[in-house]
Amino acid sequence: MPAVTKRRVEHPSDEYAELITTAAAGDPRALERLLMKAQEVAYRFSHTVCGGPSDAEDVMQDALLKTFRYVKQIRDPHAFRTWLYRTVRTACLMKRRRRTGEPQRVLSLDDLLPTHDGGAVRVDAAEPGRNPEALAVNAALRRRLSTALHALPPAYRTIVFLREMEGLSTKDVARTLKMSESNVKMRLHRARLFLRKELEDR
Amino acid sequence: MTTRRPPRPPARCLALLNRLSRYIDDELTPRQRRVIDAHCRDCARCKRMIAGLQRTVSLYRAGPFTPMPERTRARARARIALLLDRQPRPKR
Repeated sequence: MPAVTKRRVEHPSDEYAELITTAAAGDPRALERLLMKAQEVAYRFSHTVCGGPSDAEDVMQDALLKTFRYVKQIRDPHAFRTWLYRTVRTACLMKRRRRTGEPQRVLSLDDLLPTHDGGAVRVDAAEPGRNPEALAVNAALRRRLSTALHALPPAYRTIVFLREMEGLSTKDVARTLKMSESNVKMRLHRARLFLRKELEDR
Repeated sequence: MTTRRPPRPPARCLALLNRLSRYIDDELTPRQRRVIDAHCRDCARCKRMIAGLQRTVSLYRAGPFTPMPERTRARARARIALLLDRQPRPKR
């Protein structure tokens, strides 16, 4: 059986490092691009992990100002990407601190075991296109993926977001969350089992 | 009323379960991969489990599913313009 397709890497660390070096050297276009990217990361994190659209603007503003300060006191350009995710995560956690009703449990392997026949994930994306039918199918798929993701405890959701959706390496996820790589792998595995079960055709 | 858990999969399948993420991420040794491939030839349950995990991972990797609305992007641009306007201009 083939290994799964490697994730699309849209924001490689080197791209950020190059951008921050150029911005620190005084290139206004690079600075603008970097500040926009920082806000995009904050937006995605806020929506996907924290689930509070009303918080997104505050978290974006925070990411913007802190990135701007980071450029002025540039240290290690290659460390910027993990610094940004850590900063955004902290801002999100501060906003969410007293929010209740979120699943906080640890995922038990017993709850994630396959059904008698192994289960089947039967959700499919429509062919890419602009026709209304395809857009509706893809919108429904996005809702289903989002619902499954939000049923995950936040600690696991963050790992899925960073690793699968943002394309960080296990090492960078571990660095961002200040945990061991083996812990990241274990949690990612349990999160995948959970999501597979949620998306299973019932 | 108590809900009954479905019967646990056989011990052999459970032993492989913890390796399946590393299997789909291609992080196992060739020997470890061969063990799983050989098991899946006779075990439809594990085969479907792997296919389901691969499909799940592919769907999440294909994102994003929260594209930034144009209004939010416009506000982000405005914040950048405001911040940069407040900075002292470099001396010529």
